[in-house]
Amino acid sequence: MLPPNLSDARFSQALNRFASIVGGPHVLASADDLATYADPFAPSPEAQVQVFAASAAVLPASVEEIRAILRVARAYRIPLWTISTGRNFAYGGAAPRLAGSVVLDLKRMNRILEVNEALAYALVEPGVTYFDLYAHLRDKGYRLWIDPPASGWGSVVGNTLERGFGYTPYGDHAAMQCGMEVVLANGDVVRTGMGGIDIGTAWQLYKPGFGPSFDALFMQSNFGIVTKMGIWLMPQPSAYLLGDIQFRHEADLEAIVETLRPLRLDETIRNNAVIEGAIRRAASVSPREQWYEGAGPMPESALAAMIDKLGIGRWNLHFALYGVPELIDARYAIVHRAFSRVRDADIAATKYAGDAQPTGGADKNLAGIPAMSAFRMLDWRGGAGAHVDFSPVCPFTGRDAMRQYALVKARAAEYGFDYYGGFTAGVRHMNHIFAAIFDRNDARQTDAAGDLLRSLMSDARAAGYGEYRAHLAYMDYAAAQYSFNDGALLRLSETIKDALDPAGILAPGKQGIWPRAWRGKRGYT
Amino acid sequence: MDRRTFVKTGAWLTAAGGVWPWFADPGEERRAIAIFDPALAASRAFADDAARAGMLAIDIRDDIGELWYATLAPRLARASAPLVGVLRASDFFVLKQLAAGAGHVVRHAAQESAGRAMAIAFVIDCASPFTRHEG
Repeated sequence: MLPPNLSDARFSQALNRFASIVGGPHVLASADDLATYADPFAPSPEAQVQVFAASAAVLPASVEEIRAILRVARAYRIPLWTISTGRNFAYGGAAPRLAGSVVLDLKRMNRILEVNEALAYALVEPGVTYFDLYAHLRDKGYRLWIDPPASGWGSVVGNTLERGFGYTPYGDHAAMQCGMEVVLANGDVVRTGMGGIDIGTAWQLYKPGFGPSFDALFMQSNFGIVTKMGIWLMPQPSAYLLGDIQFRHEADLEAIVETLRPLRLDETIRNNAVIEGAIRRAASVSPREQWYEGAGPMPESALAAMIDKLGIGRWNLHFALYGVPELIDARYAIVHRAFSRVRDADIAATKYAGDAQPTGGADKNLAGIPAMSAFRMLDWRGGAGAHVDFSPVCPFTGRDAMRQYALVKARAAEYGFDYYGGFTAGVRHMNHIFAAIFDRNDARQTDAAGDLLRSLMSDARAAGYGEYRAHLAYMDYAAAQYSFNDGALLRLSETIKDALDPAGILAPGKQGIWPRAWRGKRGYT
Repeated sequence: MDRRTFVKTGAWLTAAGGVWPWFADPGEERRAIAIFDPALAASRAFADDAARAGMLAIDIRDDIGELWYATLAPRLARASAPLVGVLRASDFFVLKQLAAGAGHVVRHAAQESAGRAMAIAFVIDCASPFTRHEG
């Protein structure tokens, strides 16, 4: 695999120049090495995996090395695909959108540069994972919590830039970011907000600075390489309560959402509570074959038997309350009263001291502790488990939730998939996440997952919904769905792209944004 | 211990490259670390056998990520050693990704299916992980 429009000889020259910058061991181009940059969950046949294959990977250790790499990339017109740790599985992992791109892997830039306990923030480099930051805070005795996403092995910077989310009151990661250092395609190094004052002390405290504010420009985009990021941390509460409410009936989803919304809006519940379907709850503790061995989606009778046997709800609301015990008690009374009105709701809660640790990955996440047990979902269908996610934004109303659920469940069944999904509650919106779980060694299942995703995106757009995130294979389609005024939003993005990166070297095709040099590579829209 | 399970597990690892002889006398500095999941019968049997062979056997305690970051990665950073174990497919997937990301190589992996659920027996050769810079 070569970068597009580059000869073998020129590519070899470029690799030598990369090696002179970062050292030979940090330029990877062998098939074995590049296998780690392939997407293990690609929802397409083996041949199509080449569509997202990298030609090499370069691993810098500093901003100066990145600037030098950019000089080479501009000179040779080599597209670079930046990753922090590359574990964005279900959306493409470390693989580049444009085949032949060189992966710019920032995992060696893994310093935790600062933690300020009094002002509750950290400044980190892209290679720092949630597990790393958690361990650092615990080792040093800081009374601060991180907010891990479901899979704690990801990069704090990378997850935030992709608008990932967690489950504590700091669950909106993009909202908790404050201050970035960004290397632009021309090599210029920018610090956003108060970072513009080089001897200042408020870079991680006040986002806008003097304005304009650019931080969001570098999220879910390809306008620059973020090399440092400030992230606000949650002061460790004196206590917390983990609540779990099980609901018996499929139609309860509407009442759950209508009951939860006012509690989120008035901040009785301050965390990103999760409403998860029965199969998502069951998949964390059992394989599908334990309940049903037939083809196609699980029938209602098997689903009901599984729910009874496991003692879970058709829907399950997982929430948390944080603070001093008196506040927790008062809030819990309100929550209990509200959900007691939902027929057959079964409400349970456990209280913890602020420094106590619950068990189980989902509970740990609500207590600011990273985990990887969410990956047990891969065992649901057996074989070599993989998944690809459909992620529409859902207005925070019961009607919209039911509409999206019904749409996804029906279409998934048509393609032979169970509804494995749930809603993570923001304040005025919810992130509806459906995972099509498949055996990646089964070509029929893999194909069906890919086809299902395309159908779901089409269905959702027809109903007025859009995705907040999409796998590489659907980025162009997802971007094209934001089509107001003949795609004015994407035109704006590409105007900015061409101004900041005229050579088109930074992540061509990321989020459907193609620089002029590569616009002909745009895929299915 | 279930004798049949024990025999089967040993057979996997033999099929996976004759690893038992390889670990028989590795020298103190490269003594293999055995990883097991007590929820799996085959993995429990493997752990018993590994302990008898003088290996350190570590329970994954319900979260392979926590085990990697809190125990395995720091230990391997101090002294490289092979990782050997029997895990469910999802946990092996995570471990393999974490190990590969740190520059380690999966030497052997063999699988056994019980229905469609898989358990994986594996050997990961660990050397030269990336180091953390002091901030």
